[in-house]
Amino acid sequence: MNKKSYPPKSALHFLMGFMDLDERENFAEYMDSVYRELLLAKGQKSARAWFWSQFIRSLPGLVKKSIEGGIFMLKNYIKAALRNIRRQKVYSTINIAGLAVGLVCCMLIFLWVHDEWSYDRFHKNANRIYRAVIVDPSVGADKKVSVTPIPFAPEIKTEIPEVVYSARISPGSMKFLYKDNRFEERGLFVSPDFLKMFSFPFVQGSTEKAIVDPGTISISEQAAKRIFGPKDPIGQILSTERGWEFVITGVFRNVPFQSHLQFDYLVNFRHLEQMGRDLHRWSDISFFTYVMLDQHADIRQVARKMTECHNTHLPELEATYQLQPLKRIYLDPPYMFDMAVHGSRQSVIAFSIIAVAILLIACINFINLSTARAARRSIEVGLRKVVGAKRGQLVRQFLSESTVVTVMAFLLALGATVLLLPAFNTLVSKQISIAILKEGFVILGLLSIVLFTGLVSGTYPAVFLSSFQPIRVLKGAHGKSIRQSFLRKMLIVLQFSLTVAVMTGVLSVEKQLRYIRQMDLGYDRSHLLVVPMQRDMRRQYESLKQELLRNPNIMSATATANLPMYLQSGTVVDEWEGKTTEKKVHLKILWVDEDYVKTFRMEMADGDFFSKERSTDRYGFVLNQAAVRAMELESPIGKRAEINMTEGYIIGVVKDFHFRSVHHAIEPMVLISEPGMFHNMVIRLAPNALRTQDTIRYVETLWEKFAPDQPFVYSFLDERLNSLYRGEQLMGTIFRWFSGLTIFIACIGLLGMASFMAEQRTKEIGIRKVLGASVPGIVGMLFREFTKWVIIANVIAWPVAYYFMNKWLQNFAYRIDLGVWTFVLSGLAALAVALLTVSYQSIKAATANPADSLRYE
Amino acid sequence: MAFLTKLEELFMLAVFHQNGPAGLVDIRKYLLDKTGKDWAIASLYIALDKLKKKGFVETYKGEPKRVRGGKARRYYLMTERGTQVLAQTWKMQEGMWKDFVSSLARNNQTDE
Repeated sequence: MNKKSYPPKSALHFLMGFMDLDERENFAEYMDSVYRELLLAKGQKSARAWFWSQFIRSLPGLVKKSIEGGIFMLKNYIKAALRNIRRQKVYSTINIAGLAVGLVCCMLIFLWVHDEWSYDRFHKNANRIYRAVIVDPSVGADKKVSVTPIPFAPEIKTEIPEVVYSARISPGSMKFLYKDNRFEERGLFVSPDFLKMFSFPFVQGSTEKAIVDPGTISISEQAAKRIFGPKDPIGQILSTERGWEFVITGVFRNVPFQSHLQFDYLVNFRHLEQMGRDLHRWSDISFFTYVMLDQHADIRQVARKMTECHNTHLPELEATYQLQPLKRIYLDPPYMFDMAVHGSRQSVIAFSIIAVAILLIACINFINLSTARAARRSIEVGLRKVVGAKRGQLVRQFLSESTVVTVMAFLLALGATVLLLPAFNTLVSKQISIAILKEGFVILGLLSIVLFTGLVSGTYPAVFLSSFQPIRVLKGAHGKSIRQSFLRKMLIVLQFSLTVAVMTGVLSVEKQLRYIRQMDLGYDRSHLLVVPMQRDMRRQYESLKQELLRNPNIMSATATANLPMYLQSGTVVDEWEGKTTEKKVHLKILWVDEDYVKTFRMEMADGDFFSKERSTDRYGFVLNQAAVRAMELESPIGKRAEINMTEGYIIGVVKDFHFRSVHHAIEPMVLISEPGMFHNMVIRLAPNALRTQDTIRYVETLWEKFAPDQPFVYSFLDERLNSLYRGEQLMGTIFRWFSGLTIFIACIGLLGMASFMAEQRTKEIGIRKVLGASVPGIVGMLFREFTKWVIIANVIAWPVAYYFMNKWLQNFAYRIDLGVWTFVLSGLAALAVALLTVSYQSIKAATANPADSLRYE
Repeated sequence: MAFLTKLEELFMLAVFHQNGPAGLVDIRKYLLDKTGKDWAIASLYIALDKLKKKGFVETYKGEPKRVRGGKARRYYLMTERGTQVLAQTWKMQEGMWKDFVSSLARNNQTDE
């Protein structure tokens, strides 16, 4: 008999796979006998043909039936699962709550990360748009400049064939007057390519004509509503405070939050020419250039051509260009002169890691709690097996149980997420709307989170529980496998490692933030009122100052070009007396008046500060210590230097102070007394909280007296300083919340483990007590076990936490040491929390009456 | 009364015809003879399964035979209810077919 005398085995088995177990044999026999009958009667060919026609015609019906049967069984499984959940209320609550909390965290973080990632992706051509940035070696290798020469954009469009569109952009703000009301709006001066490249849809007017004529303006819907209310804005004339007039030709839809460019009006850039700006000067490096490239363009090639183009037109200031993809701009660090809104790629990565960690911890909980209850369910498993349940069926049963729990947790979490979203939005200052839950990608993401959770947390318990041998379980032996579950201990250790790592992270972030807040900046940052000054005000500055100082609550006042943290002007010095090095020194310039040091309460290291009495101060420079070091000056006072195209003498050295955020080291700087450059007034108020409001009102009245048509806007320097660390503070807040939750979830897991351990060792504890062990002795014994795990967890967590936190701290030029204590503290905290969690169960187990636990022995 | 689909009717008649326990092989053979169609095994098997659940046919396992490693063969058998339902179906259908034939005959007469 050859092989061909039977129907094709694999095909037959494939069909049988769709049938009930006890139908299979009958089916196979039938196929066999008919096949052989045909084989004998009509030969192999027709037997085969018969078989395959049967195969093809039978498959759909069988598949349909097996799916129907599957749904039937699934209903059954779900019913059993719900019964189990109801029977074990406490356990189920712990399990579902833990999972739900984990899922909420994960979902919120997912939404946040998704939001951060989706910046600028709404543009149709997002993949082809780039921003041209300059890598400026003279400023520092890692520093990039986000602006280009003014004629750069049109020049590259004609010179480089790959550039399809090229737009130049200059941000600004204008004060519009309409019916006696003043509206200050932020907007952009752009070239017409701007609207061809980006997708900012218009509700009224057309994209093509919107910004062609410099006498026209397009405004956003919200600006239109602010200024005109319900009136139709098209054709209206908007005049600005400076006397320019624009005809409104278009209204565009509000710029999405997820755009790094934010603006409420668009005006053709040639308007700047009417305002007196030379738009053909290559040495004026101040416009942003965005390009849209040909589909097949090689980015590096284009950047090289840009570099060439720049260097031919501006050989005296050579530069190297790079192309920054539009979609990366938001998460890239801000470059010099950047106007864009920025996020932090690092935070995105950090929080993604935290989200995964939290979910993992929640899953581990689930696994541990499920397997820990194995002892209770082993009898059920044994009985099911005795009455004929196959292992596969049991696996399916347990998987559906975990799926039911996961789905319940998911629904809870979804509800909680929707409810918490507004609060979360405030916490992270975002505008994530609930509508996002309807987006395909988000649904997919959330579903995969649930699926992942269900599978990860369900598979192991299912396989583990279904493996029990009925004979042993029903005899009452739990078997070695339950007791010495190495994997379970590993999971607990892993869970606590994650907890300790997150806790260490929180402590380090907190410590660094506190350090920043309390750091000695080299000046007194409190009680400093900042008021920006317009041109008219600048002329009257001296008399205003005299008036101000009459108020006893105003201690001193000074004027400066810019606040120290926003300092961007700089110059290169090449010539000074006593120069010993070859190098040029890059100096930041701070324009100040003679009361600057006094008002900021800085200290002089050497020489004098500017003074009204000396007329020669017009040619005086004050350096900071960093500048003295950089210029390698032995005794700087009286030395001649040429700084910012002015010859002068160094009259003093001010002690180093932090003028930018502490991410950066203190850079060399020169202070120059130049009244024409004063844009801000800084007023030191007396540290008297009660009088502060009165004093501010006093300043305001004076202000209105001097310049009635200029708005009085003020801010406090320390608040402005704090806003420099918004990203870090946000990170700190989120970190704090989620670490709390991490610990909470880990504790739930430990609680389950503790009750399991106690249950496992009931008899052992009973015997120990009978033999004379004391309650503290037994509690200690149980504690030792957990202590061991937490210590192992610490050992694993510390290096990981050290690595990541060290990396984070590298961002700061001034940072804390990651002391041993941070680690020890989080380790001890984890231990304390762990022992506190297990203490109830341990004490309960230790104080139990041995007579109860040994009754059945 | 219970209604049967045409297939159910055919398959039940095939089982009934065996006058006792019927294997799938015999049922197929009968159906092949009478209808000239080689029915897909799945439709046979699924329909019989449904009939079994309705209680019109029952199955039992035969004695293990030496073929196929001594696995028992499954046999189908009419239940009393099944036979009743078949009888009811026939009765109802007979009446209706009679009506059909007589009205057909009447129509033919008037046409002429």
